[in-house]
Amino acid sequence: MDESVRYDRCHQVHLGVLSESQFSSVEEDVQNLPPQGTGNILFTHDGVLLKKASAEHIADLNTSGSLSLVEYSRSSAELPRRRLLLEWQPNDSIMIADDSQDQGDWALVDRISGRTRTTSECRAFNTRPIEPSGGANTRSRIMRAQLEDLSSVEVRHRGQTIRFMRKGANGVHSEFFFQHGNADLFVRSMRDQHLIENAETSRSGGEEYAILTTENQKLKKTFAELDIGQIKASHLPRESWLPNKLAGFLGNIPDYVQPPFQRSPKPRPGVLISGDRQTSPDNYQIIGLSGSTNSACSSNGQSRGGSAEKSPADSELETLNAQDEKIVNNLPDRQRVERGLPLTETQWLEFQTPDGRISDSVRIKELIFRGGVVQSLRPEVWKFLLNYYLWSDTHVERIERRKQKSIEYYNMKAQWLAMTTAQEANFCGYRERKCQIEKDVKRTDRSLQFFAGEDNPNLTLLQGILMTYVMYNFDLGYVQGMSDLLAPILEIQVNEVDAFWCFVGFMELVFTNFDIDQAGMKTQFAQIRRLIEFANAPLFNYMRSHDSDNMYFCFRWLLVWYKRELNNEDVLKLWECLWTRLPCPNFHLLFSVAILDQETRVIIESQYEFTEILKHVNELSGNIDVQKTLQVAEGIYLQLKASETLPNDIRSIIGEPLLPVATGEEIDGGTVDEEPTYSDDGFDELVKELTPEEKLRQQALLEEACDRSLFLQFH
Amino acid sequence: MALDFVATYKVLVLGDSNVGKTCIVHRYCDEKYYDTYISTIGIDFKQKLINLDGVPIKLQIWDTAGQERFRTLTTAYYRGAMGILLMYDVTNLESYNNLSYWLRNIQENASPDVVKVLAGNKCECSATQRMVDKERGEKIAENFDMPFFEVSCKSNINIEDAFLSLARKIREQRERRGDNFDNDESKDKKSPGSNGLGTFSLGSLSGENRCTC
Repeated sequence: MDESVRYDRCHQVHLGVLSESQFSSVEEDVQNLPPQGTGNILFTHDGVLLKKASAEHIADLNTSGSLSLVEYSRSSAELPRRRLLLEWQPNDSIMIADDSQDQGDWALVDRISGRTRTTSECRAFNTRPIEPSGGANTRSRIMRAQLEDLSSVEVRHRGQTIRFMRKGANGVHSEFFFQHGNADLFVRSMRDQHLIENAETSRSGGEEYAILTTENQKLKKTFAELDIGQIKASHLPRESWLPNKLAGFLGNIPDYVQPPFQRSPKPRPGVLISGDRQTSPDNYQIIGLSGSTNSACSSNGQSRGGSAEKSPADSELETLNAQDEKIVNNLPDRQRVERGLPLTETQWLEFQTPDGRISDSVRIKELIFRGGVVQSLRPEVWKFLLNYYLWSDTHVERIERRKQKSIEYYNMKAQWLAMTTAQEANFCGYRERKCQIEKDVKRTDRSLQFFAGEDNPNLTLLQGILMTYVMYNFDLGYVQGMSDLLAPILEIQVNEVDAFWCFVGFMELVFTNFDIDQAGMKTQFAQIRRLIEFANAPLFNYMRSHDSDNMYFCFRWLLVWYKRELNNEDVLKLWECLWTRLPCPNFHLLFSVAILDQETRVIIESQYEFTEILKHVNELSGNIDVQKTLQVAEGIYLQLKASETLPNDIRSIIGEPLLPVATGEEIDGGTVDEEPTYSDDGFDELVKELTPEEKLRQQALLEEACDRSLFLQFH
Repeated sequence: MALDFVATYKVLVLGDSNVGKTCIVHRYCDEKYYDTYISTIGIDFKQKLINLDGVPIKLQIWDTAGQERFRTLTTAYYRGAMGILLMYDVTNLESYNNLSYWLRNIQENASPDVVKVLAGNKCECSATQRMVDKERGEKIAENFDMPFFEVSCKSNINIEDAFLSLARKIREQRERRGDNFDNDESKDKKSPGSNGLGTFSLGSLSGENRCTC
């Protein structure tokens, strides 16, 4: 369900006649309201960040909340007729009375349960905690402004930002940022109610509207009512005899049924307008951010969790919204893709030229991505996939390469073998790495035959390779998880030199996982979050509203590429698929998205909070169907790829060519374009060639070192 | 089910890699001991319903990765912790020496009200294997006002006592603080999330801050 837009719920907070059950909640609301009057919500939009406001609201800056247009009417004659107020209320102060039934209270607009932050969290969030009672403190946090005190409205950053200006030359009153969707509906609602009218396009390229005085509002309205198209405006609840749901529906009628003179301003891309689909090239800019309002329909049916609990009215609304949503996100239906059979020896031979080159590495990779490799071919094919062997090398060149790499390996191995006790004692960084390796080797894959039992020589190999890797890349050194990545490779290669260089190739793909600042992991969390936001909005919305969208629970998946989630055979199968880098870079992230896609219903229907999601995810270990998940992941990839409105940041994650950013537009605020997070394989770094002179010199040195290391090893 | 217990106590197990954090959680929650373990990647938790002097309490025990590299992640979980079981390995001097590092870490990241219990694991070891005397453990525990236990997951020594002691200290702390640690269930569910990455992505969203024209 679209959680950010609730224009259907134009409920009157105070009615002339109240049922008893409503009384109690109304009592509280009275306190929330300004001294006099009864409030009537004309429009509400959730997920709106407070960006600028007067000093008293400083603690709520950057806090997400609901922006509403509220009408207060007064029965006594002291105050003039009706007053219109702009109200913004932070989310964490909104409590749910009972979200299973419509109580007509605007408190219903948010599903986020009351959650009290600790002091430290508040520091981190730059917010302050709410009182457990949700009492006085909450009230003071509501930001209100009388519309008549404001002069104009500016919409900026492609509709993402809305700014209210004070009357006179008093500058900005407040500014809000729409996290989901954009300000269009809000602006349209104000325009439809004749509260604003188009002004000049502002200097910044945004749109500007003048806030009409009360007299002008009346005039405008009367004028508008002369036109039959004005039925749309009758959804003003105050004058309306229409049920709210119907009013909401009317609000959905596209603008093209309106008479020309009050057509909507030039619709921004991404706006929820059915039948008026925008296909301008800059579409993606907005649609990306409004991802949360989309694609409920993009996930396959089973993913649409939570609908069972919805009231019929909600479902009905959802259907209406879904029509809009489909148009906005425009993700095509998910295709079912087929997996293939493993690459066989016969096929492999067919791809080899007489001198031993691999003729069509692209096709080979496709086959491997589709079905993996038969067990007997793994030792050889993995060397290519992990860039130890080059596809273009002849048989002879490969032998030479292997020899070189062997020398290089033993040279590095000799370095740590030769370390004396005194050296070690004086070399903390080395000692720490060595200790950690020793601790982990004895608890890596010990249940597998290959590493089982005491004094298993393969454990010595495992340790030796990791120690040599420390000498190869001392800065990265050894980090927990690396032994998990090496073990299957060693099991397949058996030979330590081959295993080492294959491991080096694998580490080139994943070394950022082990960075000291964990930046690589954080980037991937953010990328998965973004992919889910676009590809599975129901899950994304759920997780965000349950403080679970940090994706921390994917940590183990990503750190060791699902090694801990799958049985050994499946690990080998998955890794060789992922090593092809097909069908796109970062396909391993789509594998996460695919796992979560299959768990969407469970997570939402079980109402899991962060801890339960973490537990559920951890317990998926051993229960993940690799073939099916690969199919789902590829299906999602194809959906994204085919989307006409794919934003650039997602294009960069999945390696699609970026679209040019329209010139003359402000770039900021439009997309969540991060630093270019995707880097290519990094394999190129590995194959830097030396000059012939360097090679010769190196050769002599290496041979000497190699002899020495072999001597050390065997004597 | 939610009514079966009075409160949930969130407990974190910390200490160097390979001191037996996962092992003690298994031993206590599942009453099992395995000879071979795998290193913990990321974070996991187990829950156990305990009888704390007649009151049913749910202990939620969080098991963390020991290597320093992952501290940026695990500190996110310090926040809601009410108690910490700090562990070292009596056969590994380094793990003892690193206690000061862990204590500093706790001080920097956990709530000031967090209570701690110190446990020296693998106390079933032979005298030749032992690298840390019991007195040294007692001394550091005294300095930091922590109850101290030498425990053995393998031989099941003092495991229950260590956790019950921690639970009692949490209860005392809650009583002292007027029970506002976590007087309702909903707050127990508080995730470590919502900070770290939450702000991270929020930060990138609010990039339009720069434009103040």
